Amino acid sequence: MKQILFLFFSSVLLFSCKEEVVSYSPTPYVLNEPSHFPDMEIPADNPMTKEGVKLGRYLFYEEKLSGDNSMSCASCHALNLSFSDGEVTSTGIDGIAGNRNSMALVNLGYQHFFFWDGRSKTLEEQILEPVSNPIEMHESWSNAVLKLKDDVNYNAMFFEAFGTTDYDSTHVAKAMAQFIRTLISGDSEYDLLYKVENGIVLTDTEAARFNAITNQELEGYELFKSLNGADCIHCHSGPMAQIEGLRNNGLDATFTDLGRAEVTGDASDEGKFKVPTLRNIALTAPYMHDGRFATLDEVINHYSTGIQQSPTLDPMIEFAFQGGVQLDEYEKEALKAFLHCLTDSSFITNPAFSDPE
Amino acid sequence: MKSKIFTLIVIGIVLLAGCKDKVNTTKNYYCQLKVVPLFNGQEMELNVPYTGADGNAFKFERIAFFTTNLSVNNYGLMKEASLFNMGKNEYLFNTKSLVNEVKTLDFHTGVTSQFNHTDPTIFGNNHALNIANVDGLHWGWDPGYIFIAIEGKADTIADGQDNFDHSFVYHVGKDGNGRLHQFENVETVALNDTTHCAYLYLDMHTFFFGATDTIHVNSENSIHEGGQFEALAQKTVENFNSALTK
Ligand code: HEC
Ligand code: HEC
Repeated sequence: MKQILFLFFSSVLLFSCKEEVVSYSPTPYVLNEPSHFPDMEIPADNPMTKEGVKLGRYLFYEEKLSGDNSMSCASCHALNLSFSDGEVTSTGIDGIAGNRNSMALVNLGYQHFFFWDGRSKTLEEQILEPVSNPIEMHESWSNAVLKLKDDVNYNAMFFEAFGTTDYDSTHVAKAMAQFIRTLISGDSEYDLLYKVENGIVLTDTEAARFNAITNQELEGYELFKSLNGADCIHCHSGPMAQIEGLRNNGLDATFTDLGRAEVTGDASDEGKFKVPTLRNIALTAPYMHDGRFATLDEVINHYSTGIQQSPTLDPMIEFAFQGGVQLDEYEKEALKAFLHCLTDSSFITNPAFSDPE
Repeated sequence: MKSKIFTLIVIGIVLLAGCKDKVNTTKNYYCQLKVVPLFNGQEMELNVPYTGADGNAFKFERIAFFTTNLSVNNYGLMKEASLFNMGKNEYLFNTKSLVNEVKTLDFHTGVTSQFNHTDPTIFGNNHALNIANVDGLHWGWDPGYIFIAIEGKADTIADGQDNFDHSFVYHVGKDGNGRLHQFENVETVALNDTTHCAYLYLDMHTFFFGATDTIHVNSENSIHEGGQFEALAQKTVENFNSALTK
């Protein structure tokens, strides 16, 4: 009798094991990282899988995550605008405008803090915010997840990605973080300039593109780098076209939005904001944390003659004593031409990033 | 029965004793080298004003420098590269080691030319020279890495009011602007029975008011790379290196 029972139990165990193995076997996702980028650090508790990325992409475009089923992440982060929204400040489902400009979502897997004030430390943590934020998607997570669970397709996708149908907001965040980690941009003319300067050999097609860079764009790049020119490189450099930091670039003498200081309460952080990437910058107008500048011309004028002094102004805004770097019209045009070299058209047309429906 | 219990006890004791021995032999020893920034001999902090020999007040926002090819007690290479970055990483090394006394210490400030012109992603993920870890101190074209970065603001008007509106930015890179340092008998302190820490000091007062030369912040407040304004670059390099002592 005992033996029969034992056999029975072990076959049940075997059987259930087998079922698990067959239907939940996620496939590792291999990131397509440009050779001149550092290795992306993937959190140990959220490995990249094809199923996770696919689910994340569906969720990113899912309007059910908002209170009235009208808004998804993509409403404020649109692919053709390098995942920004073209608005001065973003407006949520209830028509209430926030006080900050939507941020482009580019190469975020390489970063260690998020939002204009750097208040989130991980993508997984960051993603939880917009859904429940009353001036954004304004939906409770419990309700959002209930709506998803009504959909058999989602139940299947969650099972394929995480091996469970009893999922919650943390699974949603993990899947979306996986999708956002795939949003890598590293194929602009800027990348070709970077590669050549760092002794990385170009392919033939890259070399042809490199040769097509105009003299005006090159002059703009020289200004961008040069201390006596536009002096942008201090903060917008390297393969990310940004340094990781929160700094005050002289927009205001006194602050209505305290920026980093709203998080730390430290007066030496007032007016400091995340240094944004300049990748795809020609696509992400309007500019700055409050969207105050409608065009790149206005941005260039700011750095040229509009710098405001304040106690936290960054020392690397070097010509602050004379209001800025004082570019003439010719130089401004060249700098603007160079800023267009940061546009990566293969990024905004990548079919893997678009709405899956 | 009794003999069985006895055998068990004996085995137990042997096992326990074995365990204890193991703990002893696998104890991990660490040796650290910390750089302590000073202003005129006193420990200093970022974003706090200090008054210099010329009456100007200085606030520092970044004090950073690279070292390469560091070796201790002539054991050969201990650390290929480190980035001292005040407030972020203040150790030139912190490593498992039996060294408990730093009799000799050799390293270069700056990045030697063997590393200064390669693709900055080829270094391992935890390597100080990997582009992900350099905190913006790498410019792709010549000069490569920024060896020394000192940034802050000075109050140059002695009117009793806080008016830190005079920025200073000293960035020096380029081959030839590194310096070899050799220290002997560096002060080493036992922090506990497994960790020893050696100390170097970097005095920012000496940086501005060096023994041989003064950097006049009012007029000499900006240097980049080390090419365009050679004289100030050399002063920056020499004063910085004389400010770094054991
Ligand atoms: C109503 C418009 C709106 C919606 C909807 C929205 N966002 Fe945002 N997003 C913003 C704004 C505005 C910011 C900057 C907010 C701040 O800094 O306080 C931002 C910032 C971010 C950032 C930080 C980027 C960086 O560089 O630090 C990420 C990531 C992000 N959003 C992802 C998402 C995801 C994922 C969703 C969907 C769950 C979403 N957003 C929905 C407007 C929106
Ligand atoms: C001291 C560091 C620093 C320097 C130098 C600097 N920037 Fe910025 N830049 C920033 C910061 C910080 C922001 C975000 C500020 C905010 O929104 O409050 C920013 C924002 C921008 C934006 C808007 C990005 C967006 O997504 O809205 C553009 C464009 C830009 N900078 C271009 C330049 C150019 C061109 C130069 C050289 C003329 C330059 N920057 C020099 C720090 C710097």
